[in-house]
Order: sequence, then structure tokens, then C-alpha cells
Amino acid sequence: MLCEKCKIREANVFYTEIIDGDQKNEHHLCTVCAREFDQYSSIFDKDFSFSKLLSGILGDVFEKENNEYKQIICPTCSTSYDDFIKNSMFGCKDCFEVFNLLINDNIKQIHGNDTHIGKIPKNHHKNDKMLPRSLVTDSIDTIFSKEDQKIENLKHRLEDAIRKEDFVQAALLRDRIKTIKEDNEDVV
Amino acid sequence: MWYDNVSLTTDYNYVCSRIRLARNFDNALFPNKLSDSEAKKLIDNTLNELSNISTDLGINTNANILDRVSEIERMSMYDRKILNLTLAKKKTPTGIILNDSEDISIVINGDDHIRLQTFSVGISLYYLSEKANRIDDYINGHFDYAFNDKYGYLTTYPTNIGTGMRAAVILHLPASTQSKGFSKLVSGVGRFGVSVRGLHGEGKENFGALFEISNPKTLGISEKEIIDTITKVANQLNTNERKLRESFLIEKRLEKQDEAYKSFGVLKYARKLSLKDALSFISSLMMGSADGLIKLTNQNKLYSLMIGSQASNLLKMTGRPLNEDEIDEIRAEYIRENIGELQ
Repeated sequence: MLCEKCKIREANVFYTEIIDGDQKNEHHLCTVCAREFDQYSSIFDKDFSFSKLLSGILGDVFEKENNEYKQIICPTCSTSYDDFIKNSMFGCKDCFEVFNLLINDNIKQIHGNDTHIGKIPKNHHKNDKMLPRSLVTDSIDTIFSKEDQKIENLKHRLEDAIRKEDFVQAALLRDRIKTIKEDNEDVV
Repeated sequence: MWYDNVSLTTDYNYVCSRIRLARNFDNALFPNKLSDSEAKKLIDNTLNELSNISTDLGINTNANILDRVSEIERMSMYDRKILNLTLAKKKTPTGIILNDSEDISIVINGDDHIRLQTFSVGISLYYLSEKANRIDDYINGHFDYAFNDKYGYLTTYPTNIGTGMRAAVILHLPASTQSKGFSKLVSGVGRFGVSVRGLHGEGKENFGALFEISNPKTLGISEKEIIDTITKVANQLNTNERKLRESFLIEKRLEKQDEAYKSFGVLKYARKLSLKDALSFISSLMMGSADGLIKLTNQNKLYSLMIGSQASNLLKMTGRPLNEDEIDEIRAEYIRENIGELQ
């Protein structure tokens, strides 16, 4: 039997809808179209079952521990922690820093590990030497190292604030880090 | 096509291999955060930057935008493993670079900015990984990738971070599936950090006896370790299959030969074939021909016959909508024409 929706693939999901106890609607769908029905999506979405599992694990922490995590939003792409839990999708590279503390343990649960080993892109510079020192003049060099220290310092305070669940302070610190980073980029 | 020549024997049951790398560009939001116009711009830029890929890498490629590809062709690409389901259904702009034999595909702005895949027949993950690496480095020469020291290559889904690599091998395991211990074996290999799934249905409902093994984990494990593990587990499954088949050849030779000839008869003369029947008979024939119990002029094309039997391909061939009966009829016709003769 062909799927009633796409009429391309074989139907292998059969379900009967019962509305108000007596009205029956029979449906024959293929796994592809069945995915589109929200209530079945998690069952048939093989590609992302792992992600959904992550969602589940994260969601669990989210429910139990702290609703204030909801306030955490990535300043670059505006993905909120809530969105992240729901979709298991990062919106940009900065999400990884923004959600780092919240996801680290769960990532470890999923992958059995939390640190990358393996290939590194050709032009990647390690964080601790973001700028090739030889290319900057002494005076700029001093400014940068000062700014870098400042950022490190602020990052520590941000981590503390998140740990203490002082989200107002955390948001302020996050914005200051962002401003400093942006200023640095302007100099470059 | 790269899958047109799959040669199996009693002790070589590896149908094909695949390496996939997921990458994102450093200076752009991930695809799920891009508006349609931003996505279009990103695709145009990428295709533009990579426009010399054919000459630079010595591969003959074609670039396309998925919006311009029909839904049926996209479903067919899904059956050919070029797109995953999400991408086959995706409505937002997506670009694709494919070479002539389709053993290299680069999907642009799919789940990630770049999804690079290399395919080959048999088991050759090391070779495929080298090939993928070369293309990866080439793209990386044009674009910086989103990467950090802790989480490696930064991907949209947390399940791909780290290496962003998925290594997969498809095996044909008709004797193993019939054996009692198979489900145990499948759950056993899970302990090595490897996932096994039936290509066409799970467990007893499986038809075609094709199984894909791949790595579910991508972080904290190097590319080489991933490939080593998948290769080892594939070898184990192959050895298990070989032993069973060798015992079949001694104990059930006539029965297996009969099965292969009967399958050939059905495939050669049937006027109507469901997908399930087609795959099951092709699988029996594949086993018989691998074991030397039946000789065919086209025996290396049996796997491509499985891909061709998918409804998407039949719809693409006929170019018009078909109902279920018509599809079964066209499928039988397609198989009759392509199965070749006895030798």
C-alpha cells in the first residue's frame, strides 16, 4: 500500500485516530510522512534519535534544576537555552561558549568524552595565542595582552555568576566580554 | 554510478563504504538561523569560491541548487544516500555539488554549511577518508571553519561535534539475519561504540539483508580510531557471515542453489513486484551468486538493481505520477530489463 500523503513510498505506519470515543480516522503513511506528525517525529527520526535523546537528558536537568537557565540567550544568534533544549541545535559557533557550562556534562554523557582529539583545521590558532605575536607591534601587543587578561578575568566572573545563579550579573558580564571582543576586532 | 559494480563473494560481504564530514564556516550563523536570502547568498558565495573545484582536484563536478531539483529526484537522492531525509524534504535554499559517478557529494547549507561525503564499493574507509580529507582541506583553503579546541569542529547538532565524521559500511548478511544469535550479535557490537541498523526495516521485518554499521560518537575519538573501530566490527560481522555461508554450502547447498534459481526466475519473469519482494529476491540471488551457486551476466549490478527498485527511481524514470499497482508493474519491468541472463 502506498503512503496516503506522498503517494511515492510504501506505507508502513498505520494508525487509527479516535476522536470523542467513536469517530475513527484510519491513516496509512510512510515513515517519511509520519515524521511530519509531531507526535511520531521522535520515533521515526532515526537520524536524530541521538539528538532527541540529548534533548531528553538536557530537558531533564532543565526541568529539575533551574528555570532561570531560560534567560540565557546567545548574543550572536539569539538561540535561547530553551530553544536549544527543544531542538538540540546550535545556532552559531558562539553558542558553544554561551552554553558551555550547561552542556558540558551532558555532552560527556552522550559522547563518553568532552574534548576533541583529531583533525584541526589548517589555519586554526589555539586560543591562548590568538594573534601571531610577531605580527603586532609592541604597543598593540601590550594592549592586547591587557585586554586578553581582562576577558579571562571577566569569563571567570561570568562562570562564577552562573554557578551562583546570579543571571542579571551574568548577562552584564557577557555583554562586557562581547563589547571588548568587538573592540579588539575593530583594532585588528 | 559508483555503485554499479559491487562484487561480493562468500568471504567478502562488504557492499559499500561512506565517509561523511560535517563542517560550518567560521563567520556565518548556522543554517537553522539563516533567512532564505542569507542562505542563498551563502550558497552563491560558496559555489563561487569553489567554482574551480573540478580542475583543482581533478574531479568532474556539477553544482546545483536543490530548489531546482524536483521532489522525486530529491527522494531518489535520498535513496542513493546523497541526502538525508531532512534534506530531501527541506524547503529552504540548499546547494549541492556532485561529481559524475556520484561518489563525491558536497551539500551546502543543509544541516551544516558543508556536508561532504565520499562513497566507494566494498570496504575502503581509509581510502575514502583520505579522499574526503583532500576535499575538506581544499574547502578549508577557501573558508575558515568554525572550530574550537574543546569541541573540535562545531556542528549544528551536538551529536556531530568533534571530528564531524561519520564512517559507515554496508554489509550484505543474508545468512546472519537468519541465524538465532543475530540480534545478540547486533546488540553486542553496540558495546564497541558502533551502531548497526537494517537498511530496509529492522529485526525480523528486515528485507534485503543489508545492514549499515557506523559510529554514533564523534567527540573525543580521532578519525583514525573511528575508522579502525568500524573496520574491525565490519570484519567481525563479515567473518561471522562467511562461516555461516560456508556451512550452508556444505549442508544446504542444493536448497540454497534452488533458492537462488527460483529468485532469478521470479525476478526475470514476474509482471508485478512489491519493493519488499524485489529486495528479498534480489538478496537471495545476490547470496547465490556470491557463493558461486548461480552465474549471471550482470551479477555485479544486483546492488544497483536494489537502488533502482526504489519507487523514487521508478517515478523518475517514467516521469509521471504512478499508483501503487503501476509502480509494482514498472518495478517488475525495470528488473526484467536489467537483471541480465544466466551464464
